Amino acid sequence: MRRYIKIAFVILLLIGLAVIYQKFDPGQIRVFPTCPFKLLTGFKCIGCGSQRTIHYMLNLKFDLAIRENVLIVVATPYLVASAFFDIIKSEQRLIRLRNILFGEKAIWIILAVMITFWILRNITCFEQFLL
Amino acid sequence: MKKYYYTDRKEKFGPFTKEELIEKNISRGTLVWTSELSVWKPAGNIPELAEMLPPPIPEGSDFSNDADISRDKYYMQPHSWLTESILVTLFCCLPFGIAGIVNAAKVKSYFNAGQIEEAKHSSKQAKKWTAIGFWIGIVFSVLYLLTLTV
Repeated sequence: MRRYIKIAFVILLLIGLAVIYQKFDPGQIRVFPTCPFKLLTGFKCIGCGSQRTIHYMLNLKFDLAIRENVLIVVATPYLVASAFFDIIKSEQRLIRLRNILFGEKAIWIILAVMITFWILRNITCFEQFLL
Repeated sequence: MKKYYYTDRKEKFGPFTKEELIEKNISRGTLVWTSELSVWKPAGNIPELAEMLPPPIPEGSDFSNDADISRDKYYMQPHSWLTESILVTLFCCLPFGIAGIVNAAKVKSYFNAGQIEEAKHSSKQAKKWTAIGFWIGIVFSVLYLLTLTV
């Protein structure tokens, strides 16, 4: 029972956030939190631009979304699949797919991609290649 | 060819073929894993192995062992917190999420190696770092909103 209340709460929260992020452009309005990492160091973090990216994705403007943070756009379907596998806890079916997509090797590759992206987006001459 | 592993609950042995595995004198209660399973299972519960093993002894010391395992629901992989730690890394802008992801990888590698206790420990670590990153992100956002109202 407690689990269902928790899930219902999370779903309501997500819907609420989705409505807010769809309606308002974080690039235009100041109330959306800024990145603590950028505020402290001046460098972009992995997630910088994520709020604008989500705003554009919710408005189906993917061409604009990839310019803000291409990693978020790529990661979204992966995270949806990951959450799906967390919820169904499949034992036999799809287990091979799960072991490939979310296995140990996959996680190390994800980490490498994230950290490479993080470094490259802070180097001016590479910035343009990250869309 | 399907590869089998078995564990004495401390270390993983293998890979073996089915025939090699049977020759290791495993019992029906020995925990076995293949890449197609998400949990370590007693050999007696894996159909293709069960038929090659001697039938269960009605009254024997091995029996209590089986009961122990069923109480544990076999050995499910502890939650890796992978989804949550990636989300924290992307949206809370803090390196704590990275620590969560590293521990998520450790959960999987320890579990696949049959080191259940270590996997559980890594799961707790992953949870801890993900939660730290998450709450710092929330606190920062609230503080940020408060500074706007001043």
